[in-house]
Amino acid sequence: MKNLMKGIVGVKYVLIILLFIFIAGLLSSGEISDAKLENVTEKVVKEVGTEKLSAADNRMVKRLFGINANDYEGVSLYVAGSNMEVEELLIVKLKDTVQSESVEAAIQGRLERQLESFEGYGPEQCKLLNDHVLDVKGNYILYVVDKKAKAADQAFQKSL
Amino acid sequence: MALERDRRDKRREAQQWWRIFYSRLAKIFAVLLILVFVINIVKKDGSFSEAENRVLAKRPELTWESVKSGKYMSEFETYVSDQFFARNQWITLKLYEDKLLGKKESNGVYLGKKGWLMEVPDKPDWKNVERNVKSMASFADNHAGIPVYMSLVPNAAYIMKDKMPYGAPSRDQAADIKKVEEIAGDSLKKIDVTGVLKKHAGEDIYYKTDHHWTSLGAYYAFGELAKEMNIQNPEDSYNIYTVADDFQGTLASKSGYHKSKDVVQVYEPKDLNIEYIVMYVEEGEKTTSIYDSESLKEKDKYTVFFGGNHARIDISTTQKERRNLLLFKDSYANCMVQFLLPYYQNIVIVDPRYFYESVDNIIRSYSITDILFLYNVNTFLGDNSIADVLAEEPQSRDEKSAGQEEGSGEEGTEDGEGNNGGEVEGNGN
Amino acid sequence: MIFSSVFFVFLFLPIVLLAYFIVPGKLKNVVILISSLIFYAWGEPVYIVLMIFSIVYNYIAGIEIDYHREEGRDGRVKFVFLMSVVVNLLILGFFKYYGFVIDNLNHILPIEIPNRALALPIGISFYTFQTLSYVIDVYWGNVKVQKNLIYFGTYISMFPQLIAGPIVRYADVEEQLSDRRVSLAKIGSGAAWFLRGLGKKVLLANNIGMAYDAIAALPGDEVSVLAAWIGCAAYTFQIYFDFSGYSDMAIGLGRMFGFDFMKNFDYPYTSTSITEFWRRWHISLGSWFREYVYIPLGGNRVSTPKHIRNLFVVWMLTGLWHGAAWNFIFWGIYYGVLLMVEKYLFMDILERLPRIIRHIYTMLLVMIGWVFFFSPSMGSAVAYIGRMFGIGAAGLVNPTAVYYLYNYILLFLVLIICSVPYTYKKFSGFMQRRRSRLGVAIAAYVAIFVLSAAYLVNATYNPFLYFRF
Repeated sequence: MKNLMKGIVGVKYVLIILLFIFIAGLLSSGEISDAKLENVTEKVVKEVGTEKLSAADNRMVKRLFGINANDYEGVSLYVAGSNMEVEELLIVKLKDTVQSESVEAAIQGRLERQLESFEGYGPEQCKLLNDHVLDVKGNYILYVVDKKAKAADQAFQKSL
Repeated sequence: MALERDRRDKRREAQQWWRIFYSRLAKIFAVLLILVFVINIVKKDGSFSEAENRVLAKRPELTWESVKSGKYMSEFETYVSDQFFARNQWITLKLYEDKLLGKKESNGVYLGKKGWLMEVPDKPDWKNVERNVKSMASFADNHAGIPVYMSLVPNAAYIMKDKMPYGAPSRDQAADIKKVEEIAGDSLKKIDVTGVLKKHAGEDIYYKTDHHWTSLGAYYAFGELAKEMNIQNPEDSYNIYTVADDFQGTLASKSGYHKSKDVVQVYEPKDLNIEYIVMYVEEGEKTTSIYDSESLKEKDKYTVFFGGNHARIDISTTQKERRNLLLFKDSYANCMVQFLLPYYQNIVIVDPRYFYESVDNIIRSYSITDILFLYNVNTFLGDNSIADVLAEEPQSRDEKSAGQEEGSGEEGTEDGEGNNGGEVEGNGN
Repeated sequence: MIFSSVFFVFLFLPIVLLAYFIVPGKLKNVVILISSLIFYAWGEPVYIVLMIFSIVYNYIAGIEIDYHREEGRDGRVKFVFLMSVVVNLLILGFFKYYGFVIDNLNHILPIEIPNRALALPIGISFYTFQTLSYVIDVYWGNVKVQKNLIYFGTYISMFPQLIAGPIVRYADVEEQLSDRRVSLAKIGSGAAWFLRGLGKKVLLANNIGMAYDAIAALPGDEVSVLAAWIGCAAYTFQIYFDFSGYSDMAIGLGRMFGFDFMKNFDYPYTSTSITEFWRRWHISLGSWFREYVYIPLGGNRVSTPKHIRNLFVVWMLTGLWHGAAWNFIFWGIYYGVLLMVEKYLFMDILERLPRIIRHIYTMLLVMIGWVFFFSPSMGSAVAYIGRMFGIGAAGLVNPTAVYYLYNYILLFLVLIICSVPYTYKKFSGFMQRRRSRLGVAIAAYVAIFVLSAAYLVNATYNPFLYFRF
């Protein structure tokens, strides 16, 4: 009986530890961040560098992704200088997390169009496109096509 | 003694009544649940609801991700509700219940007098409006040689107040227009159509079941436009063709009330013989008519004008006079084009909600002589796309890599509208 | 998942009922437990972890308390008990009040503590209180420890009262968990409760809620005195029919499975004093606080200052329980003060007044209370009350107010009729007099079902007010 009790009590403390892990997990993932878009953008851009990328305006956002920047809390877009380069970086801060679906769809659309245009003659571009990062974290969405995409994603997650 | 026994009997009888009642209710409740359950399972899923004018939800795909996020569940609930048997009849029943309760509003639509349905106007987002109007004003300043007109068309809820349910809250759109005009300052030439519409408020200038105005409404407004936009001798006699007499528009769909029907008419000038070609630029299609007769087979018959909204439409006519119009618009303008068409050699119609190319390219390549913003007040006050389209493009993609200073790019897009604008215009001349 | 949805009524419920009546006696609780977990996970699946934690943790705590008591170690008993109360309250506190506390700290402190809003697990306020009732009663020795994990899980997670009460105390269902009678008539009475609740929620609460929403959305300077009162009256009815309808559905579902839950509302708007109102409103919450907070603090068998303190504590907690915001706390204290005033100053005078005056007095204070409840902030609440009494209002009557009055007058009449016991009493009294009226009575219930179903299918508008408490 005594040993059984000890075992049961052990389970209780294990449960408490698991609960802490669970809450920590909740806190670190997929929740609303009030980080400023400018700060997030700055940190991510730092990671990928600005040799290839430069800032583009809201109209470019609409042209490339077909979404209206004013529907969201904020959008920053960086694109490569020439049409022959596929590097780009899009960060969207949503007004409401329900918007994430449509933004993801828009990004997927852009990605598919880009893949179509480079398929067959731009193996390097295609590789970059295939290695893109699309990361949705609560009210923030990051889309990067760049060889440093992974590092950019890490900077993105840290900055939220 | 007898009295007490009598009372006891009564109580026992009542108890028995309840036992029978509850037992029967249990059976009937069970039968109803099972019946509905079986019917819903046996019934084939529909794909489109004609009455609601939308695609019905399908059974969602089961994936671990969608279950974890809860998306699967919410989609499944929508699916079950959407595919409920005899869905339309249930919705009709709900409308009858509302009517019985004396409701004058259904899903954001006022149920007006004599079968009129009226859109409940939205609250404007003035910050956005200010951004739009200021960009329109500076756009006009940057194109000093070209007159830029603005005409805002009120909704039926404002013009036909007498058809509204008594006292129903609605916006004073004349005041809203005034506020917009104050923001705009003197850069824009304002064309007032509220007066003439009010004068004809007794006629069918709006659809009863749709949020648009009719060709007749547009015709009256055209009179004002012609005066202000310097159109000489506007045509006054038209062949009027009724192309549909069973139109039930967006407001019917939204509210669910399908009582009234509307007539859709198109106007053709009698005497002016002007030929034209319509180019849907984005779609790469060419036709010789601004009307789309295919649309008349569909539910939304207002799309007979151009088959709906398009990012950009170019119309070239056989008009000799070298006047070229650039029209920024929402769907209200779709039925206005038939009146404007004969007086311009080229009309370029831009819907900023879908358009993202360079406006200045159009102005240059077509030698635009007149610019008109024609909007419905409600859409205009809710729009958030005009400012972006008018914003000057700092430079095209290829130029950028050539001579862009690093780091300054971001600021350039933020507040560079005015500064860069002058430069681009300089190129244009 | 909410009861007033096509999915619940026409898919989830039939399947669960069918499974429940097919399986043999011993497995019936398993069916309830599994379906309750599915029900809970339906909305926010991740929080099922919390629910399972709550079940297992408190199950173990109960056994531990029992074990140490047998061994005669009082210190251990106390330690385990306090720890489990603290753990339960910390979970509730973290998920419900964390954001609120941090917000307020950030106002006071010079540093900015990062604030991350987590979604509130549904029903956490309800099931935490149920769990606490178990742990406390085991500690006090009022109930026997529950050694069957399935039964215990069934009690904590039972879907009929999981997300909006009534708060069922463990002591009340202890025996029913292992032994309960089911009869056709009981199922039928459950169906009757359920259908009445469904009608209250779908036909009455949701419809009058539209009046409230419309008036609440008007800009402040367009609201006349009349409009402000219509809006407040609409909310007053909405919250009652919404919440009591939901409770009725819960009680009805419970009866279908053989449980007897206490009634949660007893025609509160017929009260003639605030004291009476709180005996009739959300009865299960009131009795929970009385049982586990008020009486342990000494109740009213202490000196007057201590009694006032006790009332104050209970009502501040009641306010806080309803939501993590200052206006809820104020709302609770408002009632605490009113109850004290009634008890110490006012009762004698009140009892001598005519019934109708007492009734008006009560409703007036209740309606003002709801303004604090529905307003997003204290400031807007004060402004709204100002408008009700002509301060900052757009005149006494304006066309908008007439529009809403005219629009909803019929519904208001129905609501008033349904707020008094007379109606239902008359209905049953009339029906039970003759056998031949059985059919009519059944038809009335079927009609409620069909009319509500129409709204469910048309479910574009179905906000559930008591979800996030």
